[in-house]
Amino acid sequence: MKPETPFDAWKRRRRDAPVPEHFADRVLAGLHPAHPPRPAFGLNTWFAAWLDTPLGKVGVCALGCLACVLRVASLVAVFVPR
Amino acid sequence: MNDDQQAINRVLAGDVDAFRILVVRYEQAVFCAVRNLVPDAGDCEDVAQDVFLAAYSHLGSFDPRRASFVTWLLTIARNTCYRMRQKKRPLLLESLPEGTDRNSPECVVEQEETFRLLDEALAALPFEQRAVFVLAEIQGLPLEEVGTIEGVRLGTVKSRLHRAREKLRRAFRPALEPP
Repeated sequence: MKPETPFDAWKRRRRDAPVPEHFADRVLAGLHPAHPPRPAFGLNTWFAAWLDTPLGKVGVCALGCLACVLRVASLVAVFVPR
Repeated sequence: MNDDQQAINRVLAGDVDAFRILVVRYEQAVFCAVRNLVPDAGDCEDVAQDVFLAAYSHLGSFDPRRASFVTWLLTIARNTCYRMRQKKRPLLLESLPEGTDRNSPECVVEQEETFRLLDEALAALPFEQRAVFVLAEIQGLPLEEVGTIEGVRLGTVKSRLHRAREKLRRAFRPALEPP
């Protein structure tokens, strides 16, 4: 077995941070049972989830392209005689 | 559905005690991150507690498709520690656990000196490099996961880690040189 280098011993020492006793109890005591977290079902969440899908990304790109085309068309229209 | 998700669903359904499962499971990981990232070791417990309280209040926004629960939790820990970086004081060596047992007192003294140099070098690293080093080298997380926590690309993680290692190596060298 390879002996532990001082650098590894130092890393191990920094990794072995002892957790204080009854830490979980103190965390639980700090929670508000009257206000439990609720699953997020807002419009933002729905939109973010939709954007995360390939279809959402394609949709955003398509909208961007459409806006760009419309803008170019409006510029070109200036030079087209009526 | 994994164990974490089951516990999360129970908490979201109103079973507050189910949060204990998550705290007990990840307190060591959070403590390790916090202890190595906050400037003052005396603040560790308060900061770790804040991390779990923030995780509890935002549990509804946790999305398992984006990252695992521990990655999400460590992201909260990292951001909490980042906000505390203004209180810049050196990491306290005294508050760290005892070093490894060695045979002779000379070895112990030599090792303590090496550890002190490394502690100082770690404390002197810029926060971004320190965070990457702590997550990747001390906590042993995969680099992809470190990138998710830091919100940067894999290449950035690698370069930050490389710079951090170089600085620590420079600090480590005097301890290896004969007097």
